[in-house]
Amino acid sequence: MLKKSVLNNNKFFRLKIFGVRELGVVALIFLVILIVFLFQPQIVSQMSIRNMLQWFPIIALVAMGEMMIIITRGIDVSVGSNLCFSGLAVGLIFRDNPGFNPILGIGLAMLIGMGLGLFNGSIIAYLKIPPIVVTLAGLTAYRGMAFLLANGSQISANQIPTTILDISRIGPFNQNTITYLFIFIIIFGLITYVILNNTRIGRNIYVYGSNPDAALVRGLPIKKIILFIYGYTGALAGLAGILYMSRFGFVNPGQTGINFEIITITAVVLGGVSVYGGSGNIIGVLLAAFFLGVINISLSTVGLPHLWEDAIYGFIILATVTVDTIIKKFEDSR
Amino acid sequence: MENTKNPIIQLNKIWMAFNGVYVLKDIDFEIYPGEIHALIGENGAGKSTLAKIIGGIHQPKKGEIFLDGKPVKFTNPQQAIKNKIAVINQEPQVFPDLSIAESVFVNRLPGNRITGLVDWKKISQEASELFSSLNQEFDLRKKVGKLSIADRQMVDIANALSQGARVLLMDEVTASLTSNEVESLFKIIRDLKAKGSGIVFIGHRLEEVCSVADKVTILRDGELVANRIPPDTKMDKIIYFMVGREVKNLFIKTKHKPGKVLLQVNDLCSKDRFQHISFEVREKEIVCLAGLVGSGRTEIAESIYGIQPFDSGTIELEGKKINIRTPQDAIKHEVYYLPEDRQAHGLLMDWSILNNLSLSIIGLLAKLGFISAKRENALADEYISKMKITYRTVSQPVRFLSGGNQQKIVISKCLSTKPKVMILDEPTRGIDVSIKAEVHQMMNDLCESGVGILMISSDLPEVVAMSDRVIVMHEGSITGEFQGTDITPENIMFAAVGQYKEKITC
Repeated sequence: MLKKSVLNNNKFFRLKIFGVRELGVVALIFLVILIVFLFQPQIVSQMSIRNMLQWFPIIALVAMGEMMIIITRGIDVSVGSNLCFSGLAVGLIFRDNPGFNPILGIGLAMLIGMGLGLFNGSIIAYLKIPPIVVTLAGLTAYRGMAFLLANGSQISANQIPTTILDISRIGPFNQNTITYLFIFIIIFGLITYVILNNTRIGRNIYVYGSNPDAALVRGLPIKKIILFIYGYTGALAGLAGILYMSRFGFVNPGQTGINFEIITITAVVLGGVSVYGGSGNIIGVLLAAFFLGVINISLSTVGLPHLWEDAIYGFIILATVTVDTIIKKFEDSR
Repeated sequence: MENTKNPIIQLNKIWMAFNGVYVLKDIDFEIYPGEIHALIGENGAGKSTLAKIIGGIHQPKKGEIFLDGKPVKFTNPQQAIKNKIAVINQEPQVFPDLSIAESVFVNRLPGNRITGLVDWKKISQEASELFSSLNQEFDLRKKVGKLSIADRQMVDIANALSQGARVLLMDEVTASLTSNEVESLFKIIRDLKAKGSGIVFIGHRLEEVCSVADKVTILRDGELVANRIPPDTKMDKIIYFMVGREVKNLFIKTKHKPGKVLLQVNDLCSKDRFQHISFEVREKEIVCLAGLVGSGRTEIAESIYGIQPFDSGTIELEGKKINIRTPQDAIKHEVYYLPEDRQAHGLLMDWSILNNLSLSIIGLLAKLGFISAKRENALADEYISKMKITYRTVSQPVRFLSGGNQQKIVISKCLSTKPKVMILDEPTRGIDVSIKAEVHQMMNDLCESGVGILMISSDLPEVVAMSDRVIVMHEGSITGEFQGTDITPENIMFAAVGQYKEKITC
């Protein structure tokens, strides 16, 4: 006798894409736009699709890796420095070798980023040092390496290949609202979605995050999981270095990717990835990254200086985790 | 059906020790295909350790393991899993964020032949078939975290079964199951047996165990006392094997005349943990909560001490109802609890002897908010000499002390608070004999000074020697209360396995 509840339902394991959390973030997005609109109606023009699609992709990209790490109860605060170092290293190659193949440059940046990520990951996996310590060291070490590498110079727009700059200027369609920058996010969003939901390593990320001790007893390849998530995140940070170069037209160790880890982690946490491990999905994270974009544009519309941003991100992290924890306690007590 | 077949697993002269204390001594043990082998014994007899050695979780100090006649060494659980050896624990090892179906296949998600991607359809189908065969009805999409303990246990069992286990070790898995669930579990076990699996069943409900087993093996204090005896052996003979040790070198407590009632517990209930618990502890009295692991003893202590909430009932101290919500409340009422796991709850392992000793009463040692080193040292000197603690310097981290000396420090910490009631959870577990006697002497002295002691102990000789009264628990309820000459290992064990002696006639 088979259970009807299971077999009648073909959509059995299709994930609920739009859960309560995602709706919540969408509601927040509209709420912020509405509030700002009441004071400054020109928010609507500022909030052009083009602007939005330019702002959030770089954050969303790295958040896709960061979310995997946070699902396993880890954290990577070195992504901003990794982004800067990888972008700068490839930028220097572009500068010193005019005509260097830009596609090769993208691949190279991802490799460098992945190398740094794997370095973090192998220390965490093999020496069992807490991720916050390892990546905090990475945060300052990779930034320092970028300063040394730049040796007082910076990469500016005229040294960057046009193909790279075009990533954030033009797109595959006639109107240039949807740029290649956005296409990158779509592609990596799909890849990340498939990894998390349809591959063994991806499911293992949830399993390990849900109960690390039991995962060990059950014979899961824990070191492989850790290496994968930090390596993948590193590769995405490296790619983000190139996209940053494209979007802003410069790479400068004193500016590029500063506080980037905070914004990324904000997106992940707000997107519904539990800091207690084991749960979260990519749609929520993408929406949350978009929401941070709305915040950013709202600030400039209202005329608040961008100095406000960091305080707001910090507040969002704290408020989200507080609310999540209260909800969790409430659910547990029922 | 006597052994015409060869054993799947054969253990040869296995020795195992933790922190220098031997918990398994010279064990020979075989698992045959198509046989259910029950393993029984008191708490701490070494049953779980034996299961964990076979499952690759622990590695024995000495001895050999043969799998199908070939010597093997499992250095981790993965290797045992690869050889189709599965261990199911009393505490289910589950993943709260995963769906039931995914949990079952967690370490071997089936992939699509072409793409290599996880085949969710197959998972849902196979999981649904598996649970049907277990006669269980679940919404397989439900998160495991939302299930009851019994259901989690089922998921754990389904996981082991789905791996086609040749050897299945079940360590007290029925503790949280209802009798219907146990029945369907037994049906599954018998099916597996028919298919040629070797099953080791560790349990504490003797009747239940004997009804399903083909052979019974009994461990006592890490030694094999009865090997492969038939399950229809008389119950009192089995109990004799479990508890019938020679009594030697036991501390004999001085009897004190109990005074007024100190702690009174009335009809304490906590869902799924214990029900209708009432007892009292008087001045100068040692009351022992006996019972097997998981019978709810520690849970009661934790509720009295404010670590775990309870649902109904009252706690009175010297006739007055008290409200204890946190350990701080309990200490304020001069009730102190000494936890079982010293390392995890009782001591700060990296702190010095001095700082550990002064921790509980740090407030009393302070002058104007600053801790007075003079008073702190005086306190340490007092207890170190009183307790005969062996040490190099008082600034030595307690990590480097022996288990017995650590325990003395934990007890000193309690004493420094000058409690009225002390709850001691397994006060002498893992302590060598000489220090055990000192701990018993201390308990005796405490008692004499008017303290009421509630002791939780699985060490039957200790229970018999130290207790004025014994309250025996079985699965969250009190099943027996003994005093005076009625305090015998046999009486306690009968009540602890959930039956009264009168009822047993076989």
